[in-house]
Amino acid sequence: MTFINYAAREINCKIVYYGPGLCGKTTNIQFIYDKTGTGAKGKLISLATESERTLFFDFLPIELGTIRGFRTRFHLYTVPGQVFYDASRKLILKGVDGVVFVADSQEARMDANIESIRNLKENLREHGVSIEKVPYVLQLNKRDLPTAMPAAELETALRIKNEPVFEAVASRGTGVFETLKAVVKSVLMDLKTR
Amino acid sequence: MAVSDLVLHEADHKRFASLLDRLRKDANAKVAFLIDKNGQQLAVAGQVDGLDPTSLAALSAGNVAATDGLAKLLGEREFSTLFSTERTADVAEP
Repeated sequence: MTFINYAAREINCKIVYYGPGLCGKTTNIQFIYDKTGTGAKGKLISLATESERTLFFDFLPIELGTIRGFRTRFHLYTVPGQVFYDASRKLILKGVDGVVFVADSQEARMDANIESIRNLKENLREHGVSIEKVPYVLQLNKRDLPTAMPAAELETALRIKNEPVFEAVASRGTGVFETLKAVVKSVLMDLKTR
Repeated sequence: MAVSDLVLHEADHKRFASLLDRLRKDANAKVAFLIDKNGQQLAVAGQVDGLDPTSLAALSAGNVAATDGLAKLLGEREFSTLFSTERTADVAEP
């Protein structure tokens, strides 16, 4: 649900990074935070456990220029990936404008990827949002690991529609901004059509 | 998408800000925020110097959502007020 504020001349959109536990959602957000200029970003809020696993969400507001005199502000959220935090994931998806699914490329995590996509579809549906219609980008993360499956196989198994797909190594920043740009573009295109 | 956008026009914003300022004065508060349940800040009244309204909005919405979730798990319709108190600041989330 995009928030268009005529008084402040702002467009506010919410993007959620979704995916199984330890797939690199927080690493994506952390890299964006580290590489974004001070004037264009807010504070990075991480509600994490002592072992730095996401407990509730990470939150990072960033500004990405102006469109027709309106400042565009994107609120980036991650969800906790572990299966038992489903209630939290559902809450964070409320009002979402765009989703990035961060998949773990390792073969051993394939079932977790598939389960997380199934969970995403179900939680979106409960908010009255169809995965077919929501702006959506697939990121294949951890491409540098020797246990990573071929990208083509992952695409075949995980691609839902004709969404953009990016290979990434979020720990080094590879593919992180490409993914962000693609989801932002998709959200703005979606906004334009309404 | 099935969920419609939220559009806030200048006149509505002025009205919100005016009502919020009255609430702030009545409550003897330093600052009052109007925030939607998705974590967007709709209006603010009072002194925001040194505060980070965007982060406050996101965290407050998360707090309210989590409390709603707790209420449902405990069989309550809702917990209507969240009150946090600290040494230098008190926060009420009605």
